[in-house]
Amino acid sequence: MGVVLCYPLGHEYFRAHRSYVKCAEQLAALGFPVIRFDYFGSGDSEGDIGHARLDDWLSEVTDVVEELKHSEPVSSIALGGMRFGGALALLAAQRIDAARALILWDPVIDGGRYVNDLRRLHARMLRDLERFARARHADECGEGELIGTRYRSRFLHELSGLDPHALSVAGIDDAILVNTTANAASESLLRRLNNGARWNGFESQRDYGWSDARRTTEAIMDPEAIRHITTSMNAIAA
Amino acid sequence: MSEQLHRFGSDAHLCGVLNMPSSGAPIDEQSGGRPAVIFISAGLLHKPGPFRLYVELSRTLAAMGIPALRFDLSGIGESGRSRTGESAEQSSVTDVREAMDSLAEELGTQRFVLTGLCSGAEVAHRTAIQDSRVCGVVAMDGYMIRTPAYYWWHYLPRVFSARKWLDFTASRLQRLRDGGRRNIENTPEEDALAFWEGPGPDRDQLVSEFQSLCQRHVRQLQIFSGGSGDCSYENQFKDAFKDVDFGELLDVRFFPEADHLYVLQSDRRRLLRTITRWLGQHFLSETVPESPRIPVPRSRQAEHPVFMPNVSSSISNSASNTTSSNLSHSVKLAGRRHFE
Repeated sequence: MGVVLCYPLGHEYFRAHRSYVKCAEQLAALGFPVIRFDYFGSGDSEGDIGHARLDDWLSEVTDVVEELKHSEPVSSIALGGMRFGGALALLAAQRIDAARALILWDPVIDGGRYVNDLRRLHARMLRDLERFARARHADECGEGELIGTRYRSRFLHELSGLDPHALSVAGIDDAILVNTTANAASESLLRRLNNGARWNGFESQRDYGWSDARRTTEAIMDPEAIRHITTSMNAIAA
Repeated sequence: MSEQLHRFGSDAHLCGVLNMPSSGAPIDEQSGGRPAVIFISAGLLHKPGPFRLYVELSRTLAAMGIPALRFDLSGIGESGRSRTGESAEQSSVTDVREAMDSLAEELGTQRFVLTGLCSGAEVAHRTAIQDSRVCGVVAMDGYMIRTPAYYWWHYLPRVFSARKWLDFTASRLQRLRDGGRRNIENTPEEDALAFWEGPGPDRDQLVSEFQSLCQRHVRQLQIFSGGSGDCSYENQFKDAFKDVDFGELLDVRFFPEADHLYVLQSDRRRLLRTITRWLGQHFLSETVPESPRIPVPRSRQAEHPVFMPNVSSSISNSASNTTSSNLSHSVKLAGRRHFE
């Protein structure tokens, strides 16, 4: 089984990057080929996020899966990701026949709520006097700018349209879920999506501070969560 | 302009992205007499830099005709670890020197401008001291000494700020609730990476090092943000190192409103303009555009994926042993250390 890890968005991408490297290395050490990749307009990849489309990013996940199947002897795929990456993995799994497992790490499942949370967090960040010598005003930011990344309104609209009731795990045999304390509400919702998949849940006692304006530059370090993912993947492969 | 993955280092363990100008000339002629610019990763932040600052800068510089490499230091981002026995600080310097070796071989250039933020700025400085190929340093929130005037300009606005007082009170109450504990506990791995949290060089050493850089005619652009907490007025750097004769080799910029990582796009644009203009003024003959901006067409098409993949395959030799530790989940991506 090959693994494709989808990154979160914006500042959460930077916060999560090290955990993704560690998770990928440890899965690779167990024999799983793993690809992490930057979407168009993010990380080191080409382009500007202002030109990004959610549907194009979904196509990129499909491209990466094909790339992995082409380069490694794998017949099935686990798609995974943290936050927005988890949502993208869920959506992509519905398009990819080889997808058999999901790794959902504090996944975003309600796009509208997520965008509103980001807006509130951005507003609080502007008033954070540990970060700025003086509070900054909203009019010093560009339209659609949220914690370091400026999104087009079209993209935010697409993101807001992410509907938890439209998500499905049909065709998925196994789903690994890592939930932190601040995201516990999503687990019951995700369980409702259960269409026969085996769930391997893990309640992390960590609070990653997703809604804390003072922690937006903090790296996510959660070895226990990574251990849960790797041992679950090992069990699935066995 | 082209952009490609660049693997280099003694064990090909270092990973970067090289942006090349599109002059059509052979690679060794593209650099001409111009230096190449190297962006050094900062703290735990990997090579795109904070909010893709280094991506934007690299692409802008390549469009101006300057080759630019952004890369991850050993153990950061996509770079593995190779050597043992060196301190984290010296290992970082060796990484940068290997980056210069690699570009010298590929581009034919023997002159380099090193750019870094926070710990990356310190690594740029340390490398410049040790390697005569460095002709310029762009340091963002690098070494700084708190002068007596620092305290005046730092605390005066706070005394009259109601919000600051509320903030101060809230933080003290929170500390009481936490029993005086700070909720930051690093893993040994993070401690090893965060060498910049330890004691740094003292003022006398820095004075001596800056003097030696000046004797070698190394140009410096020292940039400070208000959010760094170490700089509170425009002339602080010159006051702190007033016995160094920088002459025309030093430029200092202070962005009092910006935070340490330039989270606001407007602040990042000002920073980008400052750096590209300075590089253009000192290392290019042509004029730098007012607002350097590369139009990036939405050209991704299904027949050629544009993503930048980072593969951890089953043959990866960089599997870590961090699973035995579950101490920390609270490490700043780019921390600061203070010099008094």
